[in-house]
Amino acid sequence: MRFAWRVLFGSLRHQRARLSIAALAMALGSALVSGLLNLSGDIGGQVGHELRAYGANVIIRPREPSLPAGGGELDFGAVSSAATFRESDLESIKRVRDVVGFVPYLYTIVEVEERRAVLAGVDPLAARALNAWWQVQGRWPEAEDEILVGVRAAAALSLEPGDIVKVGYGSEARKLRVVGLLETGGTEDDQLFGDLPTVQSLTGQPGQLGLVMVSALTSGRPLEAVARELQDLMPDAEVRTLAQFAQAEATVLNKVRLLIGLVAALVLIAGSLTVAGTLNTIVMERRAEIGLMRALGAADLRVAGLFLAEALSVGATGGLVGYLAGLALAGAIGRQVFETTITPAAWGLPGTLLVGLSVTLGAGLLPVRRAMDIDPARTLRGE
Amino acid sequence: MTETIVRAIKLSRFYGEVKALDGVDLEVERGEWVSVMGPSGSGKTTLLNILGGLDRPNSGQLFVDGTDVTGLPPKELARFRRETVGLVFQQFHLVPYLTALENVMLAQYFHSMADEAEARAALEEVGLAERLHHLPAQLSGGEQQRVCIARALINQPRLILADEPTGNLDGANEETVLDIFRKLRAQAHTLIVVTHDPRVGRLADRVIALEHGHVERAEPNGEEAGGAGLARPSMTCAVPA
Amino acid sequence: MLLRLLQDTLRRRTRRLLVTVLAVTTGASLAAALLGISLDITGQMGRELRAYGANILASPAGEDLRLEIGGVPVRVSGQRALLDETELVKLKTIFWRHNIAGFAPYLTALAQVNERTIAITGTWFDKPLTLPKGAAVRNGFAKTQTVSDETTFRTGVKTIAPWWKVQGAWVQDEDTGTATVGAGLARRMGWQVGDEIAAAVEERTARFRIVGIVSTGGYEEDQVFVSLPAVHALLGLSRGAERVQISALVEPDSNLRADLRGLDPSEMTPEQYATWYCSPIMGAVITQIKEVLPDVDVRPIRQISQAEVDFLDKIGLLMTLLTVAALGGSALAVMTAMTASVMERRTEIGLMKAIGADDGHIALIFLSEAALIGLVGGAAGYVLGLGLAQGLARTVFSASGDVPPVVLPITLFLALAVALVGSAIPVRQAVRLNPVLLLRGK
Repeated sequence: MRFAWRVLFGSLRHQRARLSIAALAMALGSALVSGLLNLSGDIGGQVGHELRAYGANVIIRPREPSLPAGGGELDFGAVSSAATFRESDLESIKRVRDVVGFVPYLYTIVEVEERRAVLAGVDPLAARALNAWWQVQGRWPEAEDEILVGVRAAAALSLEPGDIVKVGYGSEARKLRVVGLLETGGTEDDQLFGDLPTVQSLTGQPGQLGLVMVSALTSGRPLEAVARELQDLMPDAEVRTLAQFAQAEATVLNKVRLLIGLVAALVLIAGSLTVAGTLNTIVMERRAEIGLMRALGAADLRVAGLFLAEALSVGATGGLVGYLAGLALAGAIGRQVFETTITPAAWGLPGTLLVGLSVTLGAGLLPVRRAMDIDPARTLRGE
Repeated sequence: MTETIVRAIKLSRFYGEVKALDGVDLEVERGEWVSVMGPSGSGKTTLLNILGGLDRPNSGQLFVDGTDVTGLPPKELARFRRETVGLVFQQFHLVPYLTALENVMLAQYFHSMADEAEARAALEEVGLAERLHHLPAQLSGGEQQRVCIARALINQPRLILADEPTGNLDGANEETVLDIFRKLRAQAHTLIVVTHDPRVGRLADRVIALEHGHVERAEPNGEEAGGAGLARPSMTCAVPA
Repeated sequence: MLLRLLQDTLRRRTRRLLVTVLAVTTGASLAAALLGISLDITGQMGRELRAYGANILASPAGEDLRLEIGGVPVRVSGQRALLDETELVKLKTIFWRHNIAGFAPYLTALAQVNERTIAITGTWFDKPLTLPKGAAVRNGFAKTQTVSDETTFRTGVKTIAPWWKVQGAWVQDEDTGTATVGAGLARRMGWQVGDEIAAAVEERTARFRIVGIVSTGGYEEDQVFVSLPAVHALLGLSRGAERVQISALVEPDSNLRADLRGLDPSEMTPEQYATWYCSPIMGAVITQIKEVLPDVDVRPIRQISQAEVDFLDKIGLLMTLLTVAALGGSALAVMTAMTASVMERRTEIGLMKAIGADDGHIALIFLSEAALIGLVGGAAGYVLGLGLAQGLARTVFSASGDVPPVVLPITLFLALAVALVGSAIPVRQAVRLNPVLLLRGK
């Protein structure tokens, strides 16, 4: 057995150049395979995170939605008593897996400059985090008497950052400072946004909420599952998924997964074929050697064993180096595109090894097998 | 007329510790048929390689047809190989996917221009008129060797170098090839033939015996030159030249 | 002679050659397929992102302050400004008309139903619009042409809000007596499909039969939807809409020509402006909409448009990087294959040197072969890659993946370059070696 190792190492050393080429080909192929496998494994999670930029996809409302009147004569076809739910119920939301963030709201209608306007109480930090598209000219509110004004409301009410405005609700009033203008292209442009506790106290509804918008990942479990979990935590409220976002997100996620998956498959096949071609070329050179060994009387098994050992050495070295290179590549691409680190796919290493092994055996050993079926004299002659 | 076509001065070639050639001097005259003989490992193939510009000596000088071969840059060396020498190898070294005709034309192509008619004539000269379009795999050893010779001759070299030209051939083929050599000698070509076969060696005008990289002896073959001679006892005394 | 050598190689070393050509072909097909896909990925993905709904809002210019909570109007002023929905067909005459996927106008009336105030919104569901023969459409920055045939297209909520789940039937646009009711409202009011509701605005009344119930999770569920003419009747108007949602296919600004990015259109040269105008980006589309709908305030719905553009940017970058990586990797792999095939022929190189070939001769012979392999492999790879790109586009996006023609010269060039460089390096290395070593087969 010791002599067999000597033969193997001698053979490897003697053919350094040729085997380095083979190992290089193997490494390149494995790098591509590993890179794509790792990338496609994590793409769902990455894209899922990106799609949170669209904002909330789950809405939590009181069982009977409230559209509170301000000053009496407005009534909106719903139960007129102020139906809200408790802020304290929100604590449990934070612990739900896949929930990325949430923004509580309390809406009301107030009097400003002798006109009516919608005032929403929010948590500015939460809103800023969840609603990436809210563009603020000026700055975000920090103190409890500071408000943001939507651009259309600002135009209609002639408000600018820096103005102090009196906001009235029934017999209550507050002096609030405009610190920023908000533009979204949506209904927010017509609304005012103040600090949640301020609006709660103004309307005499301490600790109450009218609405909570929740943003949850859907790349792990379906959104319905998250909604069910939230519903169980808040039995007094109604939890609904927003079909507009949930459906589109599911479609987009599937398409991206499919796209990257197919690209990975393409790269896999192309990489394997190219490497196989290289190995095949290299092995074909050895046929004379095979003939010689057999002419000397070597048992087929010994010859096969030697070649197998060589192939495995090349395959293992190249494959391992390639796997690591591919991992680094996937990580680099992930960082560049998504600015996060990619989690290596569980099947990345076994997948790469499997492909490498198949290619090595197929392209490397098959021709050897065939050469062994031929009369040694012919292989020696170089046919 | 005699003029020295090859002058080798103290050629040495070593690989690491092993000295393949050690201070070999050699002079060959135009029209001479010289045999280089010796046991395996004596350095005869190395000498031939250097004479043919395939290898460079580690020290020493070589002049062929007036040119200082040892000082030639690679490009000039290639030119030397195609214009001045013709090489006949023991392993034939024909391009496997070219026919006999095309193998000869290849040498023409590198020299100046491929000329099918000329190549055909060369192959007819060596008796391969019927084998022009055969691939090397379809030719016997002797036929392949003859293609090799035709190729070596096609560019009218000043010097023909042959390494064990009959080493891989059986009796009949061997005779055919030797006949060609005799013909070449008769046509006043200069031949340097490396061989271990004393019968082939005896056909030459002069025999140079190498042993362990040294020239042990260099002596003319006397009346037996140019023809099949009686067997002569092998050289025994070791007189460094 | 060179030609003859090439022919001989083709004829007699076919198998070995084929293996190498195969390596080049696979590399080239990967290149062509990936290039083909990544060049159009933002367009394809952008089409998918229309599933999120409208990304542009058009509203009448004016100083109205809308009172809406949770998307439901809570108060409507008597003299609100309205825009003319009959003008909307002009959206299909702008330069980027093929990028307007759909649009829907809305007008909400707060009506009394069963002594409650309910929001009744009129809109288009699947309305056919006709562009008459002879209408002028923009097909260049300063060019118009007339439409040779009348064209009809359908647009409305069905097009721009694909997430509406309607149990029952949709309202027909010509029908003023039917309604689709939001699920939340239906539940609270105890309404079902088939029920009749009576609505009144001031002295005008109308009756609607509920034909469908829509659930979306969002604000639609708190409203009643009817055809636009029905709301006009309730409000005593002949026409009008208070906003229009438009779904447009746009590409990220990063796809703009380099010198135009970040530049204010008002500061562009005429040539730059024309190029910008003809780029499928939000700014240009909005400009074109404003041109055909004067006195209308047009702005992007940022929640949709910003996320969309950012996402498209990322996907575009991802595909580009993937393509570069795959191209680089497979180029190297193919070069390795070429190197292996040259190494296999070292004895040949040695013998050529021995019979007096120049380095130049040898290089010419091997590189000619490599060029042939590169061209054949590149061409075959391109054809294959084309098929792959189309197959991929059809599978993922259910659309035809038209590969831009520039991919052909790029693929051929890459294949040729890789084959040549991949051969040149080992040939250069081999010709430097001692012929004796080469002949020995080392």
